[in-house]
Amino acid sequence: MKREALFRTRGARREPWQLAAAAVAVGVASAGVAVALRSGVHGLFGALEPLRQEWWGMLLLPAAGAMLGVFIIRVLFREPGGHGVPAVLEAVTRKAGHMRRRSIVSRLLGSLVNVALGGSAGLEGPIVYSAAAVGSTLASSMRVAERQRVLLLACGVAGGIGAIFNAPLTGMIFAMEVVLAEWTLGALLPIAVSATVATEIGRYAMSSEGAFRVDAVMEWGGIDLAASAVLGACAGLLSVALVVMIFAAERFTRRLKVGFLTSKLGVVAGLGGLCVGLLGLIEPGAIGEGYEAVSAALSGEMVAGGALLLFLLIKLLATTITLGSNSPGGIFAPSLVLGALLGYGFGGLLHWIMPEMGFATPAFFALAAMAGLISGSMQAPFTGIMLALETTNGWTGTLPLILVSVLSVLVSRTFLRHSFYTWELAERGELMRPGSDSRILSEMHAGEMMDAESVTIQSGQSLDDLARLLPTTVRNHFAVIDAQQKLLGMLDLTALRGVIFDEPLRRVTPVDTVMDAQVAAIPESQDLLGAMEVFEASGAWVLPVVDADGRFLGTLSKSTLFDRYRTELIVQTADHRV
Amino acid sequence: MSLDLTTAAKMLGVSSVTVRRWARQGRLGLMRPSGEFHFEEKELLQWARNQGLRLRTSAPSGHRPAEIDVNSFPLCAALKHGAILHQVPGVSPGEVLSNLVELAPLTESCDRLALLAELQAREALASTALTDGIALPHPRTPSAAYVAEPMLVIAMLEQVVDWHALDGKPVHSVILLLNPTSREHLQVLSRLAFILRAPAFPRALLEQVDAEILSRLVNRLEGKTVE
Repeated sequence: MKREALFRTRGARREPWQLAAAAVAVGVASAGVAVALRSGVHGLFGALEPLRQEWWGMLLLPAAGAMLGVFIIRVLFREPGGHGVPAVLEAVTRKAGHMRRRSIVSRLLGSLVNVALGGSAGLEGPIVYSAAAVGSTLASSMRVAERQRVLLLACGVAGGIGAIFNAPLTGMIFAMEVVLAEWTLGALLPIAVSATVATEIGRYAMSSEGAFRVDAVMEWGGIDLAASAVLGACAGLLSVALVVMIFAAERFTRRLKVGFLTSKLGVVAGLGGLCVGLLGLIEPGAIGEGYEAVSAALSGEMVAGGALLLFLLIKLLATTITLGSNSPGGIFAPSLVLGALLGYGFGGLLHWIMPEMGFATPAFFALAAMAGLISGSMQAPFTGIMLALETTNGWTGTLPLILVSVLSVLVSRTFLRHSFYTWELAERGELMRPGSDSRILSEMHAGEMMDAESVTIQSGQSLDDLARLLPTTVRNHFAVIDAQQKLLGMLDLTALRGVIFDEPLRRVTPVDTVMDAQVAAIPESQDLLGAMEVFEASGAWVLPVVDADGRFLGTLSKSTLFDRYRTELIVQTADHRV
Repeated sequence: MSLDLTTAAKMLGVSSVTVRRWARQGRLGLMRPSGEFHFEEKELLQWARNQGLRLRTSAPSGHRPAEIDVNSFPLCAALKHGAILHQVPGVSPGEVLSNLVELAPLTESCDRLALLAELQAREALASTALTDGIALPHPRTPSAAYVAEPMLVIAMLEQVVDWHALDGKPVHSVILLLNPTSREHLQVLSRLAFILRAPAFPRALLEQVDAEILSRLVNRLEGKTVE
């Protein structure tokens, strides 16, 4: 029997402690990001309040904000637009956790301006982006391994979300459920450290309360569970509508973006902002982050009725336009606002139709629907549940919250294959989750697997020269090259069988005449996925590998490829350190 | 459209045992109450695309070892497209090649001058003389620019020519070999190897037998290689 070692090796023993120490630093920095953005937006939003009292201010401010936001991100920082979370996922899945240092501030400033001037979007996406960049940058400066850089990036995300919502568990769960997409013990420890540190700092800097004011009674009974099931389905449908509308709008804008003016200077975003401003004239609550509406709902200060439905539709439209026109901002806050409005309206309706049934307060349903909307649009039920519980201290409502969240995700997944965050990556075919097949295939390259000892023969030599090489090699495939080592074609011994044993014939047959000149060559930098496609398309078993200049480097056989893939699979799916 | 297990397996390019295992694991398809599996074509296509599987609509082509179909006679076919010529004049390989290109049944679109230049360049690289007075001129690179199908032109010369053969013997017959691809070149070449080894063929060339007899001989000899 194999003896399993009880103790860890020294290197493995040190790793968790080093990571935890780094996580403290990341937590502090990500809290700084969250505090800066939140207070910046609140300060600026408040300072601009007098302007918004005028009708022209209300109309023009969101447009100015959107254009300025796009300008800051696209021109000043030269970064791609959008809300940022897909970019973070891409950094995790495709770039080994690499993010640029400038990403720490770019979206922070862009969304600060956009949301403070009235863009109907959230700050959480940008905070996730900035905090992730903080973690990644810190990791890079500490020269840690790729896997640890990804972890520290997730630590940044956990810290940022934890700090802004005063909700450490939500931060942790969001980082694991959405960003890392894996639940491992090794990841949990540093992420927990970072979330705790960041939340604590956020409490001192902002307030020790939850993100929302909750004054309403949150008691519930058995009948409310039944109501929650219905609400869960409604929340799921609304989140599907939200995601679909934003993507439809985004596709529309993508077609509009042609010239410099539109893409760089944010004319489209500006026009979107103008529409948002118009909507703001009808319903001022749809402007900006919208957390006042959430607090009002959770405190039972809203009036349920037709106006509420109008508010919900306008908010939905405003968010669609803001995010669909690619102005910087996230979907977190709009989801919460829409959820609060939906739930409050739903509760109000129940009380109106069946007043004698003794349903819970509309504020309670608002809370539940908030969880439902987050869960549905991100397809992340834990994040939704935790966020609603932590931000409202509503721990007594766990059961209906779970019901609403899970049902919402169920409905969302019935219709949509991807969440709001993963859709963009999936569309580009770059959604690769850890340990998945395509992820492993994309990280191995033809150059590292090829047989560099392959036998070559110069163009112009005859099959007779090849025959003399045969006793010195065990290989069956030969590359024909010119004087500059450039690959001209391949010779397959099996195909030469009819000729190679005839001495006069092989003497008069140059290798050029019988080589396969149309052979598909694999570039050395080609990843395994691409290489497999070349094999598949050509039906070949052995193919040449070439460098960027077409010089022959070696051969790659299908059998080696599968062999190495299996090895890699074992390594990648194993526990990391012994 | 609903597909059965065999069709689905054929489309995915895997064995039906594999598809049955996938279906049993619940990865694709549905089970009928009878226990048979069936697959919706649209769903199967989408599934395959998601998994990154390539669908087999036709067998993969391209790079395959040049295997000879036992029921085909590439040499005879090439000869049918070509010709058997007697008394071809010329005192040097260059002259013979020039005449050969003139006399070969090439199409109008074929650039005879370019072909001749290629043949001469090939001779310059190394002589194409085999043994016992037979030469096998051919372009260095098979090209569809000259012929659409393999072409064999057998030419018996008016007088023997010094073709710089290794065995020093002068050449009395020339076999011009034109192929659109290297794969076809190999096929014809390997059949030619058989025929040249049979004593009857070189003897017939030396005796300058007439076209009818020679082509029947080639037919007979190539038939033998299959047996």
